[in-house]
Amino acid sequence: MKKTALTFYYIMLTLFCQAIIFVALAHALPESAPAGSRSETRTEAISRYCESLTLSLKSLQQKDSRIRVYLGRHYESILNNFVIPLNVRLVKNDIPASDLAKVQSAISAAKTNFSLHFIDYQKSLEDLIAIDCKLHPADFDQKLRTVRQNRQAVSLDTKELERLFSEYLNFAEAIKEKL
Amino acid sequence: MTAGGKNLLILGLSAIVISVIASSVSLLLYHNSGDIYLDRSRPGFLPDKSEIDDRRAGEEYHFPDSGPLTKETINTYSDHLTAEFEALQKIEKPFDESALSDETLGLPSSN
Repeated sequence: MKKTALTFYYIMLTLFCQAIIFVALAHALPESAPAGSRSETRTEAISRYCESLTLSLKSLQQKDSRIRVYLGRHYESILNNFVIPLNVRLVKNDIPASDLAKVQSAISAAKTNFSLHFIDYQKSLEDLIAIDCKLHPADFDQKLRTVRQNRQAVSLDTKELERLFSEYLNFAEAIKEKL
Repeated sequence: MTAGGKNLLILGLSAIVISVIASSVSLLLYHNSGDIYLDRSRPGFLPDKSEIDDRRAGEEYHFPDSGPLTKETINTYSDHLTAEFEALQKIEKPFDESALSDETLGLPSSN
């Protein structure tokens, strides 16, 4: 009986400790920023509309997550169901296509960059949402700039992938002349 | 305390310490690697029913990586690849800067 009780207490203690660790890790501390150089009007506006700003950013975060999944699925499909199989089939048919192989490498690299930049963007966006913009509008404004830069990096990656896919399609069309 | 009781105590405490360390490390890795930001099983990020239905309804085309290559094969390939591009273009200007502009957020211009 004693052993059963001891075992029970150990299990409860373990679960309690894990819960504490999880809560501690889940909360990001807001960064303390140097004195801002923004006009009073801007920081005042951030402080005044803090609640609606936070709601907009949360909505954007979820929307971006959906877009990322949608785009990622199609990028994955194009690479695995089109680009790689065609390149393999060209090799098996002894048809030279070094351009296609180069574009395949570029697409893989761009896809990886897209994932990495998206993670950076979402990390910074989550940090931005965690800042109490009513009390720290200058910190919020500074972090907003970082988030914008990170978002731009993701945007550039999507444009680069679009360009590479078009290039690949053109090369694939050109293969017809060799057949 | 008996020897058995002491051993049980040591075993219990060791198990707690090991599980706490293991849980902390895995959570840290999950957070720092960025996987948490790609994870859509988090509350608030779960896929909509429509997204799940779309995924099930669409048949994924897979170009076979073996077999002879003819102009007809490449034409079929191009048609399916173009369809994939069109699906990508359904999202106009993904991650466009306007979503975080001062105008959209209702903030006075920083210039």
